[in-house]
Amino acid sequence: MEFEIIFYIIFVTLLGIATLSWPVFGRVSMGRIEKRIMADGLPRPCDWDGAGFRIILYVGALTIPKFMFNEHDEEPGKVNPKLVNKYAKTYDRVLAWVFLSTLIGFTGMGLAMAPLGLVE
Amino acid sequence: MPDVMIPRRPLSVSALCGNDENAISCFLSNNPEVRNDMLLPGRAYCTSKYLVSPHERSIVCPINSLPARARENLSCIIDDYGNETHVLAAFNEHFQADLAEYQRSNGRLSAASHSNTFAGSAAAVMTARNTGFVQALQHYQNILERLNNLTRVGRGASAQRSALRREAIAAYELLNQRFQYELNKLVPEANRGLNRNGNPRNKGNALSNPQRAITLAERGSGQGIYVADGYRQSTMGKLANAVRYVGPGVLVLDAGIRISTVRNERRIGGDWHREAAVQSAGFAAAAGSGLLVGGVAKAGLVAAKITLMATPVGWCLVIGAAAIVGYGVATSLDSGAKSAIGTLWDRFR
Repeated sequence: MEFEIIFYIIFVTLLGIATLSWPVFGRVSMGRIEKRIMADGLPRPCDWDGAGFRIILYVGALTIPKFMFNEHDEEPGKVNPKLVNKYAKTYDRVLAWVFLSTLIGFTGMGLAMAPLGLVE
Repeated sequence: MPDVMIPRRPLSVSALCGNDENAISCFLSNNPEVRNDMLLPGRAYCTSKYLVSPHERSIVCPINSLPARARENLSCIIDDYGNETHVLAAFNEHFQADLAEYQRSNGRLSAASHSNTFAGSAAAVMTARNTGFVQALQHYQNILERLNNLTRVGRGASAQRSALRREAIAAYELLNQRFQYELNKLVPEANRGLNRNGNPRNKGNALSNPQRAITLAERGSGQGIYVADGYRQSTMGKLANAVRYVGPGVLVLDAGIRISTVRNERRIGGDWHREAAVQSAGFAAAAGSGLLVGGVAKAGLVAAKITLMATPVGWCLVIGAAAIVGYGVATSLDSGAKSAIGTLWDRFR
């Protein structure tokens, strides 16, 4: 099998996993974390988010090492990484890692396509 | 510009003004539409501590004629950005033109690689230019206000009056020479300058021509001389609408265009299954990479807050770069995913 086809198969597989894990993470992990935070009487962790883009902030809070956050991330109205990590379970972290790594993977491969001459 | 507030939830006047009788009566006369002590969420109210003029009220009214969703967005933006909202609005005004130009000359990846420098330089130039334009407008307005005050007081020194007239003409010339593009957008060239008889047109507002501005300023009421505020109001309205369009609406629009491509393919009897697979992969890839770039930009926004965020220019740079790079990445991922699925489909069908 030539290089082009293998590249495409890996790309499409990563794209497929990312597309599936996106709503799964959104409903299962993010939704549950937000519900549990609000059930404890705390304000909604993210103020205004019309298009649901806060999902990437939750993924970041669960995957990026804690020392990289600073006190600006704990201001009210932002997704507070400490709070999110407190309410998260192991499978939330696994889902976040799957989503983030596939997302980075297919974006990187997609960007490499044109220099490799793989775009029609 | 008068102080404007857009409440997010129902609010009573007494909760806003406290027990101060004067403040309450001032608020009620500034906002005659307020009935039975309640402020409705999502409507703009004037909260200036003095009695505003009819002209200043006319700045608040157009905000209320925006769609409800746009006003809601605007109140959220003001919560986030506070007094820098109008800087953002001015930036958005220019930035939309840039993005349209970029879309026209869409060179896919080659454009994506230079978009970083493009975003940086264009944003810096545009922001600097825009601030300059607003400053020039403000300068012009200040001169006209001083001339207007001189008229209101009654007899003033005629030397001072003629000096102010000369200054007004000079300030207008500056606007005309340095910011002709912006001026043309505000007042079309046909509505400025001379009329058929060769005299300055005595119509329009202070931006039509300096003679008209002096005429307006030397009237007692001085309507139409507050040009800088009107400009800000119009750009704010556009920002609220733009935010509405880049919300969930843009995803729906994108999906709609893709579905119609598939339907066309089916109508002409082509392989519409392939087209559906290709389009949905393109959609997922573009949305996912856009999300990633947006997230990285957001993280950059937080990190850069310490150094850059002290200035409005910093905000504009980061937001502009995110939007243009995000657009470049999403379009190249879209075409990449389409060709990947297309090739695989043809191979393994």
